[in-house]
Parts: sequence; structure tokens; C-alpha cells
Amino acid sequence: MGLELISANHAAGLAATLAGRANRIGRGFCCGVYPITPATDCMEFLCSQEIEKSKVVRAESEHSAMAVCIGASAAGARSFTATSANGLAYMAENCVTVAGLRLPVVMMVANRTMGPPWNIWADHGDSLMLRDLGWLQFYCADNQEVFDTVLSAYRLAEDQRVMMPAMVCIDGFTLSHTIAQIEVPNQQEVDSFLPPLHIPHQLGSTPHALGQIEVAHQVASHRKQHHEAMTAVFEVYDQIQQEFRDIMQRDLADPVVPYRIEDAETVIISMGTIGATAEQVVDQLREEGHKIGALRIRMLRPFPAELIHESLRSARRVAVIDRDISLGFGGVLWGEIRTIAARDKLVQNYMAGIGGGDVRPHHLVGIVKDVCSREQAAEPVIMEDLQ
Amino acid sequence: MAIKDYLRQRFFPHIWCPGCGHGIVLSSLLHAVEELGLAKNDIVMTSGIGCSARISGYVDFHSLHTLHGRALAFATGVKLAKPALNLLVPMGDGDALAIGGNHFIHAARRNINITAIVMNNRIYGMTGGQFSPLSGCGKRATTAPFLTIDQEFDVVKLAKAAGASFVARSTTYHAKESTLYLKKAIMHKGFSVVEILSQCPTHYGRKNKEGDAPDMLELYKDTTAKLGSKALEKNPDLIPRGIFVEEERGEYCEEYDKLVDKAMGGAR
Repeated sequence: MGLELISANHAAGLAATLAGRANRIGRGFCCGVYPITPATDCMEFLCSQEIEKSKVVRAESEHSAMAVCIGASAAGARSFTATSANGLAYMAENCVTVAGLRLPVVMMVANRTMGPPWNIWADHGDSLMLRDLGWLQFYCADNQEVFDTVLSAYRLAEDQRVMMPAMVCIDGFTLSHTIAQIEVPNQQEVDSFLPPLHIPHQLGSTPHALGQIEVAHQVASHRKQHHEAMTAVFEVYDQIQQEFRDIMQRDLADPVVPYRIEDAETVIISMGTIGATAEQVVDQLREEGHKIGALRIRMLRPFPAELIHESLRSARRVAVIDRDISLGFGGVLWGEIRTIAARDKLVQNYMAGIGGGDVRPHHLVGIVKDVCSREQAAEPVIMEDLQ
Repeated sequence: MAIKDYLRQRFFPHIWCPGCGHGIVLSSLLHAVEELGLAKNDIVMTSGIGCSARISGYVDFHSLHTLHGRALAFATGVKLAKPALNLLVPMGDGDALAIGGNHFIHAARRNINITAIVMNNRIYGMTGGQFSPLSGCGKRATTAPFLTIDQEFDVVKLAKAAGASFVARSTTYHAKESTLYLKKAIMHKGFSVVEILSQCPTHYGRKNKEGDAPDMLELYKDTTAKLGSKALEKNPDLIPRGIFVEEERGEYCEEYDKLVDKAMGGAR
């Protein structure tokens, strides 16, 4: 174990590199990449790794980048790529493909506003667009978590009970370009955490037909299998957390991260870096005597409904903060929370930080005051101008 | 109309680095438009993503700032809906030939009356200096610390093979020549491609030891030669400049009209 001062973009690339080298079959990763702000640093990091242990195709587009990853993964290599916003949108067709083929490709998404209008700042609308494709989806709050999540995403995605791609989302710039100190395991530790990659349908073992035509009942049963594999994730994740603790001597964050929630009557729910700000606000308001807590949703797919339900036991008021907007509906996360929050709770939606607006502690204090002043929930609130 | 009347000055200052060649291309293009006496209202510029694409903000024409690589596909829709408009599509090398390579060859194949300007700086500039399909072998970039092994496209040969009916190449050193080719390209009926070598001292020049902007411009003077010139005859390794293709061939919008007439049996 060593310490590194590193940006979150590089932390993701470093985790993928160590994971690639841990694959005893290939000892290296093979992937396709294409630059897009703010994920570019990550792909440049991959390109600068020891050449004998990394095969990186500088593809002609994000669509081809994921195609290369699919080919490499189907051939038994650990694969990784990084993208953002419209790059992810262009890659979407192959994001469907990799999920349908049940290949454990890991991808970092530096969350960025979808254009037009063009904007390069953080917004979760890009990765949420792909929420339902059959990928595992994580949202991170700090550099250590980005590193740990990418590393453990390989372990999780490649587990025989899971076997599907994983998307690790980090807020563009706010997190992707922030440099912080993280703990990095050595190669032996990574080797013992990640078993050799074994894909049952790997090309080159026995002849397989991947991605063929199916009739309705076959498609339905494959979707069912994929959905059931999603539900198996929680048990596998528990096990991975234990292994991670044993090898790394520290904790791998939970799918849902509660903060001072035990007796909280008001709870702020969010994803990504806003969750870190929320914890600071909770401390501040607790000192003033408010019974408040925060809940950060780290794993969005599969959706940890039971864990969230359990965490909201004492809550009477819930402020769901979305850095996204499902036009014609409201916040995506709010929609998900509403399905599991009991009817006796007031669940109010605030869409803050859309288009990269900086969500600061005093905005969250304002949100808490607003939700506490309400008798019942109203229409979602779009916070246009964060001062 | 004066050149500056074609500029949308409220979008300034521009984003291009000091020494960037793209401003020279913009100047050549505006001179071409001005000399042809085109009205602002008759020009539509579609652009994709990248340093080159910002040009559509700076010109006071109808402008569509679209998606990476797709500007030609958007332009195809505009042209087919309103064939009387002049379509100008500036693109970078990444925009035109990496992510947009497919649209490039298919627009050429259709021979639709659009003017494509490839501002070739041999690098992805906006994202910070990753190599492009036009960088060529043995080059250094942020994505090529061990040098590139990828062969580059020759824009002229590619456009020619794909069916473009007007193909020319110039450089930012030869700005007046660029204006001349752009004028001919705009007046040409069919898909026209003008490749203009445009220096990127910030990313390409610095990494590949080609010096600053004046050095790179000198390099364009020394490493290129006019088609049919003695210099090119003596040294075929020089990059040829000039008009490589200028042919009359059925233009897509006109062919479409003919097809409609035929299908209607002359009843239109």
C-alpha cells in the first residue's frame, strides 16, 4: 500500500491499469479510447502506461472505442474506457451491446451536461440516460472512492453470478480534476483481490455464437436472467467488501452511504459530490439542534431499495437533490426514491446544479429550511440561479 | 460589404490560441465570401465540435453548431430542404476524418452541393493534443508518448476516391491562394473539399519540435509546392497544393428534382 497525490481522472486510470496487470491470463489491459472533456485526462493516463502491459487503440470515435472494448473483453482481456456527455450518447448503441453480451467492461463516466446548448460542466443527465441498459452504475464523491470503485467494479462485474458491465460516474471537473491523496494498493494486493478473469462465453475457448437473433421468449428469458443477476449483486457486494477489508485493511464504501441518520427527521438524499457537501451541512445544522441526516446513493443500479428504505426509517421529511432533470417528469433520483419512501413521508424534489451550477453549503441549508417549512410536498423545484 | 461586417463580434474574443492557423483560414474564407458578393442571409454554416467548429459562432451567417463529426449530415438536410442556400462546412481533421469520416465519404459520394473546408492541424486541439487520423506515423502527442504507428489519411486522395467533384489543397502560409480555391469551391456545383493545412503551435508544433507559428508557416512554404511546378517535379516528396479535381457531375439536389419529375410523369 502506498500514497499517491492524484486527480480522480488518473485514479480511475490507475485502478484500471492495476486491474489489467492483475489478469494472469493477459497481464495487461486492452481497450479503445476517444478524447472528450472532462474525461480526456483519464484516457491520456492509459496511453502513458507501460506499453508492454497496455494495448490502447486510439479509436476514431466513442462508438468504436466501446466496440474495441467489447472485442477485447470477449477475447478475455480486462477492458476499460472513459467518456462524457455527448461522447457517451454516441457510444450508447455499443453500451446496449456490451450489456446484452454480458461482458464485464468497466467504464468511467466524467459526468457532464448534454449539449446543446454546449457546456462542459457537471450534470448527471448523461449517465442517467443509460440507467436501464443492464449496467451496474456507481456515483462517487471523492478520489479514494473513485479508485476503490473502479477496482472493485472489476471484481463485481466479473463475478460469475453478476457478469455485466459497470459504469463508475464522477462529477466532471468538480471531482475529475480535483487532486487529492489516496491510498493505492501494490500489485500483489490487487492480484489477491482480483481473481484471473474468466468469461464463460469467451471467444477462443470453444466456438460460441455471441449476439445472435432470438425470438420473443428467448429475449424475455435473457432479460430475466440479467435482471436476476442484478438482484444477486447485493450479496456479492457484501462479500467483496469483506475481501477488500481483509486485503486492503480499510473499508470499501457501502452501496448507500448514510450520514448521522439514526434519529434524523429530515434527510437530504443526493448522488456524487453534492453528497459530500450535504455531510458538511448536516454537521452544521446538527450543531444548531436540527435532527438532520444525509444519504448518498452510491449504487444506482441495481437500485438498493431495501437499504434506502431502511435508512429512511426515522425520516419524516426527505429532500431529494437531483443534478439532472427528466423533462416532463422531474428529478430522476426523486422518481426512484418516491417508489420506496412510505406514504407518511414528505418527499420534495430539488433540481440543483443542472448545467454545472456550483451547489454550495448555503444552497443545501436553504433546501433544508424549505423542506422543513412545507406541510406537504409540492411540484419539483428547479433551482435555476444558484447565487 | 466589408470583411468585418461578416463577423459576429459579440462572440469575441475567440478561443483560438496565439499563433493558431484557424484565424487565417477564417480570414481567407471571409475574403472569398466578400469577393463573391454573397449575402449573409444566403449562407448557412454548419460546424461540429473542436477548435475549428467555433468558427460558426464568429461569422454572421445562419449558423448551426452541431455534434462532433456530424456537420456534413446536418448540412445535407439543410441543403436538401432549401437548395438555394450556400452551405459552408468548416471541420477539423478529427471532426472531418475521425468521428465524421463516414459522413465525409458519403457526402462526397452523393456529390451534394456543399463546400467542406478541412482545417488540418494534424491534432485534436481542443481536448489538449491527442493525435488524429491525419497526424501520421512517428509523431508525438499526449496519447502517443512512444510515437504514433497509425498511418494518416491523404484528404485529397480520400475525397477524390469517394467522389467529390472539386478537391483542392492549400495552407495558411498561402492565404490568398486559399481564398481563390475557396471561391472556386463555393461556386462549384457539387461536393467540394478544400483542405487547408493550419498550424497548431500549442499542441502539434511544440510536441513535434516544429517551432512556433512563424516556423510552422515557413515549413508550409518549404514543404509544399504547387501542382505542375518545377519544384514538385524535382522533389515529389513535397506536399502538392492546387486544384486536384474539378469536374461537372450530377449534383444530388438536382438529381433528386429530376427523379421527382420522372416519378410524377411530368405532372408536377
